[in-house]
Amino acid sequence: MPDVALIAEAVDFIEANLKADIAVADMADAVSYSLYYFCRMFNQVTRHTPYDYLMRRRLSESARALLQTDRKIIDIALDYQFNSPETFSRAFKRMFGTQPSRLRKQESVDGRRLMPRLTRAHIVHINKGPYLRPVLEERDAFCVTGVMTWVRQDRAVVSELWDLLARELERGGRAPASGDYYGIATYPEDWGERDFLYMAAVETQEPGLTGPALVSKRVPALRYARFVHKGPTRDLPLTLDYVYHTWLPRSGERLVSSLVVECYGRELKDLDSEEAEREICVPVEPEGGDEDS
Amino acid sequence: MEPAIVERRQMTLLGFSFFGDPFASSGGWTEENEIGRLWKRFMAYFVNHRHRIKHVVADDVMYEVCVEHEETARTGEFEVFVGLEVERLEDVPVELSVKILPPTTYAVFTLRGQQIVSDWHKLIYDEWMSGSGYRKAYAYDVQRYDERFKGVQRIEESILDVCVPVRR
Repeated sequence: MPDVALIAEAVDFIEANLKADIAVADMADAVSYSLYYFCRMFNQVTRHTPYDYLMRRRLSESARALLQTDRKIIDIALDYQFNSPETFSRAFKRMFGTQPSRLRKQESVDGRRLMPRLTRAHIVHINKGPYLRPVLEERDAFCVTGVMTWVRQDRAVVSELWDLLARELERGGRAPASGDYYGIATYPEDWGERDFLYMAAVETQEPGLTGPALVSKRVPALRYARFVHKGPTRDLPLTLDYVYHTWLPRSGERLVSSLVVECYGRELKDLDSEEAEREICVPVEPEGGDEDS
Repeated sequence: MEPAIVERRQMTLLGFSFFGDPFASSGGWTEENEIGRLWKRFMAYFVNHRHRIKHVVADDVMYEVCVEHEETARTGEFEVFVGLEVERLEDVPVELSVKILPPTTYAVFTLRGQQIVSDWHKLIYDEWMSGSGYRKAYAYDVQRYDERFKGVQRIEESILDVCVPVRR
């Protein structure tokens, strides 16, 4: 059995040394494992190779430094142990689909591309069971009606939005149509790292329900990777981090839309319980071709 | 864990190899990681094309060799070779690779049950070796699987020899 606490310690060691010249063998030493056993256990617990985790974290922090500081690109590369601007650019482009200089000019990045550090909560979450394996499927376009808000750092507003939707539907004096409930998150490219637009909605026939606070939206036909999120609403970012940073890079797929669709079925119940399950659908397409054209 | 110290002449192995972090796809002790896949490929080849492999020393003894390369400490990537021993090379099928292990002294550890899936590298290299008067002779080690190994599913009943090249 892997020792989850020890692997979490190894992650702490890596995080404290992103700018230092460390080898995977040093990580193994830090937790008193042999190199072989460490590689095996690290993978089993985090679903990353230790080296892949180190590189993705270095690149993500260097991207932050590019956006948030005036430090020269070459210095940022050296800070994070890339020996030359070429090595840095190549690795950077592989992760972000763009060159460091271009990212700096853009002045923003799709926050979903920056890998946050793995916390103990992430590690516990991804080891809850095998449910984080997606199904790839096409879905037809559909229409939803609901309420929408801008979510910044505090996700608590999402729960409030669901309450608001229930009140709005009641006020309309009608049963919530015949459709399923959907949470739809949209991530505009130039927004802050963890900001998004969130819509709590119910599927409707066009033209949809009407009411003072209600808005309608048509979700286009897309191909999705469908995951099951198990756990309360507040743990959703843990699943999404897994999807973007652990599953996506080795899936052979890439993100195609700024939408993420949460499917709740016909009833919304106990969304804050540990046992709650909902589907998370992330639009993807097979990799190939050059994004940075 | 006290090893037997044995001398071995050069060994010539035929089989398949992998380089990388073999646990990238799955770190568990399942066949889903690259070492498991390597074994699966080799066993399928062995079953279907046994007649192509000449001068086999023993049909029921298989080897897994882990080789450290220059980048191993930095990236955690290493080479894994699985195969069997031959007396000499003749008409080697192009799909097979050859691994030649130098003549050396080996410390042979016999692992039983859960020891097989434990961190035995740690026990051997850090704990045993430091007090033994021996040093690592080469940057590889050999796992020797014979009829005493019953498979990962029956690990409690299994026995595995691990051979570590050493010198004084």
